[in-house]
Amino acid sequence: MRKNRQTNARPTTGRTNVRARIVTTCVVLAFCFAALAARLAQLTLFSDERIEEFSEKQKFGSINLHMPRGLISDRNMNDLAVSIRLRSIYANPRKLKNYHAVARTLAGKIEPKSKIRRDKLRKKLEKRFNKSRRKYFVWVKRKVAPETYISVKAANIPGVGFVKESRRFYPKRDIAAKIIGFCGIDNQGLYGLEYRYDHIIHPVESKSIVRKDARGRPISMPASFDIAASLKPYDLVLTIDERIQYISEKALERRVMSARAKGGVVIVMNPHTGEILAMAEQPKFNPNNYSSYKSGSWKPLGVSQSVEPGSTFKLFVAAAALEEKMVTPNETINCENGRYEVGGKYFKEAQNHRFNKLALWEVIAKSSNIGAIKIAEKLGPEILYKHLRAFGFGELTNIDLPGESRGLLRPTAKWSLTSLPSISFGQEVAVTPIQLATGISVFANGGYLVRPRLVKALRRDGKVIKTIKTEIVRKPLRESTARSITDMMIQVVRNGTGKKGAVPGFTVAGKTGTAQKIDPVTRTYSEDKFLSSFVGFFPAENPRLVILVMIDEPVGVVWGGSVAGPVFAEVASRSARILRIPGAGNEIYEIDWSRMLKGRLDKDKSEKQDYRRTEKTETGGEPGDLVDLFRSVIDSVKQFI
Amino acid sequence: MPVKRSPDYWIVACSVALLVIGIVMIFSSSAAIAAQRYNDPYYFLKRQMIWAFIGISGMAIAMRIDYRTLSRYSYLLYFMAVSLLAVVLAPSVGHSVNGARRWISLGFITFQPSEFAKLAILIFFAGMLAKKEAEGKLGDLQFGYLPNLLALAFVFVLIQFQPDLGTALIIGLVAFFMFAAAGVRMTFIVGTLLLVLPLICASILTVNYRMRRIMSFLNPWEDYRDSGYQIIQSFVAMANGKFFGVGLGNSQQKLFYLPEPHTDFIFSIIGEELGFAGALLVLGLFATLTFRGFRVGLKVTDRFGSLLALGITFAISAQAIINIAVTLGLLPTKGIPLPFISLGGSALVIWMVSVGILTNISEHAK
Repeated sequence: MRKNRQTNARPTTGRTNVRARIVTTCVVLAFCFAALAARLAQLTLFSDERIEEFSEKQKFGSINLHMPRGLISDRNMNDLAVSIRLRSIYANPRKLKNYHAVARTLAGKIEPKSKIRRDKLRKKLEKRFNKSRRKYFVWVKRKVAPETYISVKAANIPGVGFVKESRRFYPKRDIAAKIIGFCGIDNQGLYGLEYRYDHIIHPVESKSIVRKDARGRPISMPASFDIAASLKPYDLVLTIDERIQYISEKALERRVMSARAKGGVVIVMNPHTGEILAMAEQPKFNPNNYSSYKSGSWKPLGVSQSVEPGSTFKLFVAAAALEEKMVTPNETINCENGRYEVGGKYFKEAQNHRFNKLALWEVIAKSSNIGAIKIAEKLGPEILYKHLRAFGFGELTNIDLPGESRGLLRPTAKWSLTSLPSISFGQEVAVTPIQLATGISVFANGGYLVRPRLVKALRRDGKVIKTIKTEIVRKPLRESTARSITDMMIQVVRNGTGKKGAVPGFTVAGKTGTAQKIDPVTRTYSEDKFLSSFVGFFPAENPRLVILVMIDEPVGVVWGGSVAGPVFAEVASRSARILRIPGAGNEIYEIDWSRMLKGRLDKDKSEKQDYRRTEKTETGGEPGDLVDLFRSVIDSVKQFI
Repeated sequence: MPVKRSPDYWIVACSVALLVIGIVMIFSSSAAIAAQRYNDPYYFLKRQMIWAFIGISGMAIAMRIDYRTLSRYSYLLYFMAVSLLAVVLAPSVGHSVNGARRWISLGFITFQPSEFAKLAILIFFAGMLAKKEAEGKLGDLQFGYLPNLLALAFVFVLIQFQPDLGTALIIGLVAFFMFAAAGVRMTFIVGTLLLVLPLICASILTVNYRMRRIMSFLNPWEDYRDSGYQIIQSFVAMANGKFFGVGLGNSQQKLFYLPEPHTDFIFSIIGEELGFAGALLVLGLFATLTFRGFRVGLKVTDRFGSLLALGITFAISAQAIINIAVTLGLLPTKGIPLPFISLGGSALVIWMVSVGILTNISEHAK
């Protein structure tokens, strides 16, 4: 019916004609679908090298797992070096619309307080942006304080981004700084234990290949992540006792100030194990801001500075003679009434004393130079040299602190006629404070030379992985000889030059030293530059601590007993209380760290000028402002740990 | 009068299957982007599911309305389509994305008038052409062909202002196919195309991004970082897919490598995650839909129904073919979404309603 109507109505466009068009269209569409299916098969089933290669290249990237450095803590697990997470600001210069404006904004956010620094930063950034216009990445400022990050982030500047980085932070500031050292901007250990144990506390370069999305973010944690976790760095537990370190630093600092000295060293050591409980130095530095100090001030003088020891060295000469049984402790020595000629040179006593006949123990107690010469002469160069070497002089103690010096003990072949007498009372020989302290330990521990050390244990995830053991290098003395020397040292403190080193409640064994320093200009012994020292240990009956005090170039009173002795006494008595060494009272000395740190911060603000600190400004921050910075991050530190 | 028969369930089944695949793939391909942009991986999924519900309801309703009533409203629909296309151009109403003013924002949802216009114009032409044929004016240039052409040209001009070349192309293709299917003389059609061709060329050559798209289509590796980027990423997706795909949800390319993985390039993600097999299934569903639709168009007895069924079917298959061809690198990048599957609420609703109409027509096929 319809068909009829249609053919009648439109003879020109017959139904068949239209139908053919529709069917043709349908066939064309079918062909299209077939073509699509073929193309689909080609793309999915047959690999195209170019596409595969492109795909592989873009798919994988490496990520840094950003493991922070291991902690460093004292023997009682008080943190000395921690890592905190901070943000670093970078810019993509290609995305910066107006780098002048961006530099101005950034400078304003980063340096909100000081106009001078703000302008300086702005100019620096402008220059940097301009220079790297075609680059995709430049640093703006690395490891900024949390509030700076927040304020820069709030500004929401296109082309400016942030990356997380960890930064080393030393919460106790300059406490034990010379030992701990510091790290560079890339968290690589540069100095001190940070450098020495970098391979242990520095995280393994934990880059791993991961699948990433188009924006370079990793899609899933790599399979190797567990391996990386097992490569987590160790935490370092030091032999240092933070409290003893602190009181040593304080006592030394006070004395160096009052004696207007150039500097000084205090070493507190366990003679039996070689553990260093404290190594205090003046001048010191704040490792959080190491770059604003002279590079020389980073050196741990306790191990690197070789000095002529002076009278303290007589102990080793006497010990050698006793060990060789060439003298007895009560043997009388003729001290020639204060004037003795060897090799055409006249030797005198200190302070122009004139001793006639002294027992061996009196030679030590009164510190007779001529007596020491006489003893040395009995020994002769070869035997003396052999014994001094046995005490570790002229060789490294192998303490685990970089930059150690060997000191100077020339072989006998190079000795002149006056060498033997000079060496006998500590001239023409150079030792490091740590060598001296280790040598004194031989008397304290019954004749053993131990290796001094600063690390007690390695920990990971709160568990002790490895405990460092005591190393005995050799046994230079018989126990009886050590005992004899100890008795002489007791006399030094009781009746001799070291009375100011006495500690109430204890028998102290000690020896003073006042070495003339060589004047670098005249190359002769200076008349007014001295190195005053006091070395000793206590309780003499059962020695617990060896303490060495050296004050470099005190002004006024220079005698080791007077300058260094009281420091010894103070450190000894306070350490005794801290360690509850029998004989002392039982009150426990606790350091209120928060109060102490606060006091220090305030003090730093008021007296910005620290002697021997150089005014170095190109690094940007002055210590005063960093105080604020670190104060602000103390909270994040607490969170982190 | 034609007898009412059971509807063509193939059409319903195919379109619903495509819709379901679409929802799954939208979630898979958009979760990362949604999480990034809106902090909610389900952002697009939720919206698309609401639209799917509306779409299925629309289809169910359209299936129950006798399609012949639509012919009565063909002028009104045309008028509505034109009005909406005009309104969207008004800056206070139109919502612009990436410089193209294509959407009307109703606050909680955005609506794309050109999608509605597609169906409305289809119905309008089906009505017009059937009427002209009944009046015997179809062979007449002045009164038969030109009024249709002018109606089309007017819509074209409006769409050009948005601009939305993709929709214009689909509407043009569908219109000329319907002219041909209605029986308009081929000389008219070919003549018109010859006249219009210079215009199309000019519009491509003058607009920079269109030219670039065509150039990069010819050699995507030339500029793989910029204009060729999208198509190469699509190739990578397909190459990742192999036969069975990398598995649902495991696409690499959706992670910001391939732009628009949930809209224009969703087929690439299907290829990657479901592989050749899954992509072929989608192609097969579209092909089945096409042939069933043409079957309805050929079998239905009245002219309006036939033209409407053919128009709807042709629109679906043309758009699907163009979209898939683009993802396979056979056509330059167009910005045409894949029917039923790509993200886009108003389009989905319109397609579902169209399928509803098509199904209703199938009930009247002999």
